[in-house]
Amino acid sequence: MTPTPEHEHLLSVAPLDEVDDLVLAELRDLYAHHDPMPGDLLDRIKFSMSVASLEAEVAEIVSSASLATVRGTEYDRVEAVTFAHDGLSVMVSTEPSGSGRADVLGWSSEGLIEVELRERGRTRTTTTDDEGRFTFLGVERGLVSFVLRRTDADAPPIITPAIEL
Amino acid sequence: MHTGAGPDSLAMQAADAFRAFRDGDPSGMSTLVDVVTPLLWSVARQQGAGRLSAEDVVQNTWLKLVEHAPTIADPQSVLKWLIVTTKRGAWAVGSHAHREAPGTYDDVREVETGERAASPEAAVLAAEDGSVVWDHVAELPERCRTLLRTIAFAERPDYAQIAEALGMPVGSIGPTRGRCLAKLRAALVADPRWEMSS
Repeated sequence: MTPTPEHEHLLSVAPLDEVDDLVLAELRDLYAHHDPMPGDLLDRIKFSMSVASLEAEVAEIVSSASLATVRGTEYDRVEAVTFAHDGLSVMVSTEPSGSGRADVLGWSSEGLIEVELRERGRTRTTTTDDEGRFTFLGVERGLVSFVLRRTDADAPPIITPAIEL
Repeated sequence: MHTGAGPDSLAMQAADAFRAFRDGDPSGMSTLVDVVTPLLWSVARQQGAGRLSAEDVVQNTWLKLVEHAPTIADPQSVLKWLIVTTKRGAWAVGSHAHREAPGTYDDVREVETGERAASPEAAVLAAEDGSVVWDHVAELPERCRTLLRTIAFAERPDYAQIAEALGMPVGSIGPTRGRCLAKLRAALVADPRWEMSS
């Protein structure tokens, strides 16, 4: 049977039904499978939006180390990463703190820096001590970034690229 | 319900997230990005942007939103704003590519064909693992494919608004099926393989 123009016209003026929903759902799956959005696109968009909305400058990752010692299925992970921008450098290391969480220990080359931790959907803020130390305990694993603010209000905030805890 | 957006509509979800962001909740913007980006990716790709260009186009749309957020009076219109901005961005990329590529000949149509990215549908057909639905989608006019791919990433109450944002005539889809979906539906009904698989 070949579709006739009348048949098509009748179909076109009829309301949408469940079969249409089914067809469109299949179409969505097909496109998502065959021409998928890049997996990290959402994170990159959010990062660039943060930079833009904070009018922030972006720190560079100057070094990162990842040590994983595997014991059977268990592994301990110690990671350290150093960010730098405009004379300020910040080193961050993480230690597992159980149930998919990690403690973040940081050290900044200057004291009295306001450090904001940006997790998925929430943020928390602390200030470094005189020696530049700061900690965030029990951080959920996933992508995080830091926003660093000098007490000098004129200085633009500095945002770090996102790192995976 | 013939007009307006139901509780599950994408426009409504987007409006809620955008309103939350405006009211000072930064996770609102994150939600908005999660909810709408797959649709914007479809829009950019269907306007002929290559995968890399489409990434830039979509990212730029969001950066423009950061800039223009205060000027969007009605949160309900943010979805439409994002679609229109992405569509224009994808077209700008396309026309820019045409200018940059020094055509050997003056035949503009030839240059255009070469510069437009291969359609996603063609890529799938080449892979030979499409479905019955896919076979018939590939036969549709390009405008219909763009409309159907885009609405496939939204909810029923959004269809009319999306069609309008894409520059399709009123009545292209929603609340009635419209010509594009009718064409696809008629082709499917006439295809014995469709009965078997549905």
